[in-house]
Amino acid sequence: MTDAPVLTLDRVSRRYGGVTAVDQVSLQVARGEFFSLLGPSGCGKTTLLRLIAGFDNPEPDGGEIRLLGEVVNGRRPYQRPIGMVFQNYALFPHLTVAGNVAFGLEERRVPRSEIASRVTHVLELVRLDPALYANRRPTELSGGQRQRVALARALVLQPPVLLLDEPLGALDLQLRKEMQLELRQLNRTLGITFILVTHDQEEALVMSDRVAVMSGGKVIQVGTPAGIYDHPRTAFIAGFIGQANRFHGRVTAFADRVATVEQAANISWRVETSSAMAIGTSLEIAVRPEWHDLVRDGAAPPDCNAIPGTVREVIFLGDSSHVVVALTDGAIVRVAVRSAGLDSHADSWRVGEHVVVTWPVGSAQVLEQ
Amino acid sequence: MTSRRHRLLALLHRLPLARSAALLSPAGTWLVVFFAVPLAIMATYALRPRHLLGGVYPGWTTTHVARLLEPLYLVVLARSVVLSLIATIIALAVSYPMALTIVRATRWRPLLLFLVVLPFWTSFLVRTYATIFLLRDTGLVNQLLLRVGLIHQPLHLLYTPGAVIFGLVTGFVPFMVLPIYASLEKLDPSLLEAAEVLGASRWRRFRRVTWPLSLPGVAAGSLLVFVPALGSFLTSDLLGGAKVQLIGNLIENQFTSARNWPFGSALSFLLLVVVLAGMLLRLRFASRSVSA
Repeated sequence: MTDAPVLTLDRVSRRYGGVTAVDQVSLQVARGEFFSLLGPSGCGKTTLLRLIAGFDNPEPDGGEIRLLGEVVNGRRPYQRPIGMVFQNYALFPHLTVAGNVAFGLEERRVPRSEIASRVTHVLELVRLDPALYANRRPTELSGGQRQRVALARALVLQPPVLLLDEPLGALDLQLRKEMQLELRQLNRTLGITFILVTHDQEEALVMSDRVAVMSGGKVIQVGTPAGIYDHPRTAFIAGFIGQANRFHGRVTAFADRVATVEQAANISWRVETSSAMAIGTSLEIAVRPEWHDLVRDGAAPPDCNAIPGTVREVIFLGDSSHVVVALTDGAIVRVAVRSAGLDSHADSWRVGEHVVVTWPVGSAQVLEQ
Repeated sequence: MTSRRHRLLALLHRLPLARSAALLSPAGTWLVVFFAVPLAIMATYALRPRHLLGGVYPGWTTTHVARLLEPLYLVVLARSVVLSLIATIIALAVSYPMALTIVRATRWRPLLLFLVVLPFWTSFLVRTYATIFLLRDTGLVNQLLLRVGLIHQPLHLLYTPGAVIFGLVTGFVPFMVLPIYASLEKLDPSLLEAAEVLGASRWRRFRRVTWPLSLPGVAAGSLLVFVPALGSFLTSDLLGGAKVQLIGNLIENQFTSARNWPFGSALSFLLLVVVLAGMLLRLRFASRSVSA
């Protein structure tokens, strides 16, 4: 990471009429990184990608975009060191697969002999047999094959940065998982920086080195998938990436970096905090379902919180089960129970049974309010 | 009764051929009664001896067909084809930028489309007469040019091939604009963005993406202008006078003042052959461009 960043966004904004679609976004992406812009639809992630590409209006409404150290504000897309894979692939229907892939090379006046070999090479790279597919039209291809052609068309120009706008959105689940791994592989072997836009949190977690979570035109958290999963900054992120149980109450005591919080009349728990908490402060934490444990009697391990409740539902998920527990104040907690082996799923937990939900005092993330 | 109908419908469903035949029968009947039968009558008329008062005698002859090859008529045909081609090309040159503008003007699109169709609210005959008022020696165009001082004597614009072409272009431009508009409107904007990222300038994007993908519309529009232009007689009659006779005028003459119905029929068939040749050309054009 001693390299200069490939992409730097410095307080970049885009406004449409009175709406601010991208609001003062600052980011840095390192060379070769697989970086994802993640968020629900309308969060501004696609607009941000289009700003990086230089579409609509190559001049942002504020801020500075630097690619490979150069300010590219006002430069047209073809004057930027980028390639792009579009959501609907945007393959030219009147050209063959080879014609589509050769398009950019022809526009860049690459000699004919070189074009042929580069097209063949890149088709092999994306695992399309040139002998079989080079002369087909896009309409004669499946969704997955079109995806590969779109990828080949962008990669053949060897752009330092490849922008991908929801590239897997139209594929079925099986193919999507396959392509996720393949994209990751291409990113590693080619050394090209990938910037991916997606609304699918699983996709972002599987593929990315780092993820920027967006909401309302702003980047609200940037980090590695594991970092964001373990330390979501806000309730929105905790709920958007993975599942989270949220606990909320007022601080009644603070000692040794551990706050004691009262949630309801007979429900209280402890949490480690980095900063001192004044008595009476409102506090919210997120706990992942797999950080919880379930016990039948009150014998919780030491340094663990223990809250009694009633089993409402047992949801079988294959590798684990989620036991849904209602606490006495009505709050719902999902507890992940891993299968311990053959025929030992969580079916020992019965609906209506009285249980105790536990979690280590250190296994919780304090959320920003 | 209903079960019988159901059974019939089920049968139609099972046999794709029978189903399409059923669907096509109204159009098919119309085509046979009003197209195939009259065409057959015309074909036989072209091969019968001429009655001097119009109509034909029984019997067979090839004199009318043979007359088609006389240079006089071939010159008229050639003139018609050339004039129609020029009119088509000018109409294309005028219409393509219009269609592009309409597609790009998202907000004004309905109004602009309305304006394209507006001329149809007036009869073609009235519009052609209006053109006479524009082009004649004392017409608006000459008056304007004289007033500005660009010319000192009125230009003879009317009763020239140019006037006929002008009339054809103004009359048929909507038929060119609409199909081109339809094909441009279908064009996915992300294709142009993809071309731009791949390094294509504005002009190159037009050459390599917009133009080839609009070719079906261009072909349809060209046919819709070329074919009626080739058979037109009103425009050439009113704006070309006796000097610019087209094959349409010739045919009209044979059936009216010349009272030579068989020869008129033979000329009509000649026109039909030329039009069919144009259609075949279009088919080759269409098969070369996109099937998507």
